[in-house]
Amino acid sequence: MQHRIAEIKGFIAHGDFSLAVRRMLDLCLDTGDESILRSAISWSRNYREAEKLNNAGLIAPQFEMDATDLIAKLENSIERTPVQPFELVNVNQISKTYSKSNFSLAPISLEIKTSDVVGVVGENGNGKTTLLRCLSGQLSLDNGTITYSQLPDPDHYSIKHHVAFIPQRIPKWYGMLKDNLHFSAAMAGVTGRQNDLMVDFMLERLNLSHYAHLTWNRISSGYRTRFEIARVLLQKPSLLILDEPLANLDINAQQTMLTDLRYLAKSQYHPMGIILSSQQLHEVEKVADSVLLIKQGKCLFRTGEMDEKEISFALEIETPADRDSLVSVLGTNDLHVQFNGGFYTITSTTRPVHSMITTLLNNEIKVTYFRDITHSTKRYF
Amino acid sequence: MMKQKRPLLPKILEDYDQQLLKNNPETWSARTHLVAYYGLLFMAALAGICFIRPDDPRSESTVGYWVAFVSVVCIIAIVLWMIYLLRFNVFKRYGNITAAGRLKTFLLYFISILTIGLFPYVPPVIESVLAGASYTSDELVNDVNKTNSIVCQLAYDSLPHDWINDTFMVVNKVYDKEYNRIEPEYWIDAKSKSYKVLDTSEYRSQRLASDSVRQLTDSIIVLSKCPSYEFVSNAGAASHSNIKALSSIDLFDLYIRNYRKPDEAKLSAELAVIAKKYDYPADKYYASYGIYSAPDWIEKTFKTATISENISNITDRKYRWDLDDFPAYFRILLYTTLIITLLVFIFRHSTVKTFFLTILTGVLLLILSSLIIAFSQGNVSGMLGMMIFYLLLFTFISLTVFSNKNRNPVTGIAINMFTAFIAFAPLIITTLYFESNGWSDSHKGYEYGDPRYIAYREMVHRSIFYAEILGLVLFAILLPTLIHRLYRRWYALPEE
Repeated sequence: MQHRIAEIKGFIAHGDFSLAVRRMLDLCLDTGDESILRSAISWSRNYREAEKLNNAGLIAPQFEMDATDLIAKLENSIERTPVQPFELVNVNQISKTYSKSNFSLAPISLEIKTSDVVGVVGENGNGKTTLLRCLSGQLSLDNGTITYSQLPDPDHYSIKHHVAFIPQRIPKWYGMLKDNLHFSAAMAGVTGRQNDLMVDFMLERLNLSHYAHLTWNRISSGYRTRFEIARVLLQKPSLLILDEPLANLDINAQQTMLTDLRYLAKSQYHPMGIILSSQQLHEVEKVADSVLLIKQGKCLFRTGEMDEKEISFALEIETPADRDSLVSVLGTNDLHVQFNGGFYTITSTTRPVHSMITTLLNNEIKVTYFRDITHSTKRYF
Repeated sequence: MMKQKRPLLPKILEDYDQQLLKNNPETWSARTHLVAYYGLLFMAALAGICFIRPDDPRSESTVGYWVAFVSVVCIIAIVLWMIYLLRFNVFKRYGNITAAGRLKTFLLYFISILTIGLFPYVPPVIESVLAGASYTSDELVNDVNKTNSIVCQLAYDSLPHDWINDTFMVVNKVYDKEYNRIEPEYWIDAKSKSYKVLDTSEYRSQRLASDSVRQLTDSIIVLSKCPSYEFVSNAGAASHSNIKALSSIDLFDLYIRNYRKPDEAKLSAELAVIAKKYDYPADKYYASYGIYSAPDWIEKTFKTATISENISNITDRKYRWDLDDFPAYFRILLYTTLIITLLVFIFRHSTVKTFFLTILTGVLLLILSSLIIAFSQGNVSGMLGMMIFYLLLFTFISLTVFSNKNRNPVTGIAINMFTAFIAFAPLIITTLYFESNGWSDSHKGYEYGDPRYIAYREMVHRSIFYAEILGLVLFAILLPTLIHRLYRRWYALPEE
């Protein structure tokens, strides 16, 4: 806990108030102390109100004072015993062929534990959604098995209660958004005062309080995704599956959501496994414990396992220089330069990425963007 | 942003709504509490309108138009309720559900629909209350007796004073050789006197309608009938009053047989008061077809048709809810509510596609069965037998869900059909039993009025009533047990 408190203090000290609020809410939830959580929610609300007025000068003094009080309470509270990660789902050689199309998902095996974040990337129409729908129990399998470790003898209803799936096209909500959240929490057994508390927490945690009394048609698609995540999280699933959750979000919101998902997965209050598919390779790779690249229904690459077998280094750059200049600077030995119209992808079996980029800069090649994609799925696109 | 407030909803109910939302989501999503509140509010408003609307109990009731109008409101109310109901569904979101919760949910839907279904009963109930408050049964019987008495005295000279006598020959059976059938009306010339021949059955009914019987020989009977002096009918008021309604015989005894010259001016004045009391422009078409229509000249002279018709209008309103008619009203409400509730329940536990395929299957089976019956010269028993066959078939297909690996629409249709019809199974079986064992009373050989006939009819009605109750009990048992498991299993199965 001390480490997390220090982290929050650091965020406050550097003016990263939004991040401090989110981490504080997570920490307060993990204490399991209702009064502390209520204080944190109230503190968060005050911050959001002040933030709405867009007056940083007004925010800071009161914000810091209240934060100090909260931290004092946290320091006196008893920390919840951290839960050791345990297996949630064991996927063994599952495959799927659609009867009305030629597409097949080749056998895939996978193991997901609590606190794991697994990314599934790949081009459109290559089987990401099929894999996710199989994992969520929405599609029948042709072969293979999925074992849900927490459900010894599950029926399909229990599986679907246990696993939450958020599709890319979220079905419309009816009625007031907040009522939907209360409803979802209540139907998962979160009732009474706890229901109010958890809904308020989730609204603050995902910064949705200002929109809670609106209806579906009055919020943007990005907020719809966030509300759907809030709704699903209130149902306390063990495994959360999200199909393209970043599709409707702006770049900042994407980053916020991914870090939030990572924090929520590792929550001590309710640790869970998360699988998400996305086209945002780099963003996903930043937060995921492992990433699966699906191409034409096959798992082509898996970070953390298969990348160890890779022997070549890969660099992605954006530069006004032409291919010949790059080749002449870097030399031709075991070097492969590929241009996709925007970026150059340079691979080498002997030269590490930092060596290549140093050489380019030393030779005054203007580089406007670069990324080491040695361990990224990007190199397979 | 403030939360939108529901119109006319008191704070206490708003709080209750929130409490249900956060504690009993399934109960909350049924919105029964809101339907009950707004339903009662609507019924109160409707009752208020019915109280203050210009209406005279003596007039022909226009309640049919009101019922039609309120029925349209009912449909709108059900659609509105459905819009709210379909927003939230614990079952389809794989929330925590219990077996008993299925029964509770069904009952909540039932209560909601029943509340809405009660709307059309408000105008007739208010009409009855108003008619009851305006005219008591004793008052009506008194006025009818008084009118008939006055007319008897004032029109004494023009009224028939002798009873009508008919002589009959009673035989066991009247047999028409030519047509080889029982013929109740047959004339015979016995010793140059012409008698109408009656069989024992017809004789019994004729005797019931006559006022006096004289037996001339073993088989020749004279039935006498008092002329009708009931110029104004009490239209059923007598059965609700302690005052005896004077019959034609009573009137004959009092005023014809023992005639004394009356004070005509006084009687005319009294009759004028009664005529004024019940004076309301009657529908002439219906008035002229009154059951107890008196001769034209009496109606014209003493306005008995108007009095009779308007008293009939009053009693129609007052005694609408008599026990004789109540089972019919109750069954209309019960079955309409039950069928709509079943449809809503099935829709809430099935996919949209499967629900509409179920409706289509029902229609196709109806057409197919009708064609089979038509081509095979079948009867009602055949139709009922086919319904039982379908039910068994759907039950069998429904049970295959436990071995299915995918969500199969055929199994879904079978589960929906099973759920929809299982409550009616005992009724179908009972009806089939009576159909195949000679439902018709004539098959039993009982004659009308025979105590065995009455007992048989009562037994049939009782059996049907028990079958209806048994159906509801069976459904109430199967809903939280088998039906709950069938839907839970089927809906959650993965798709192909």
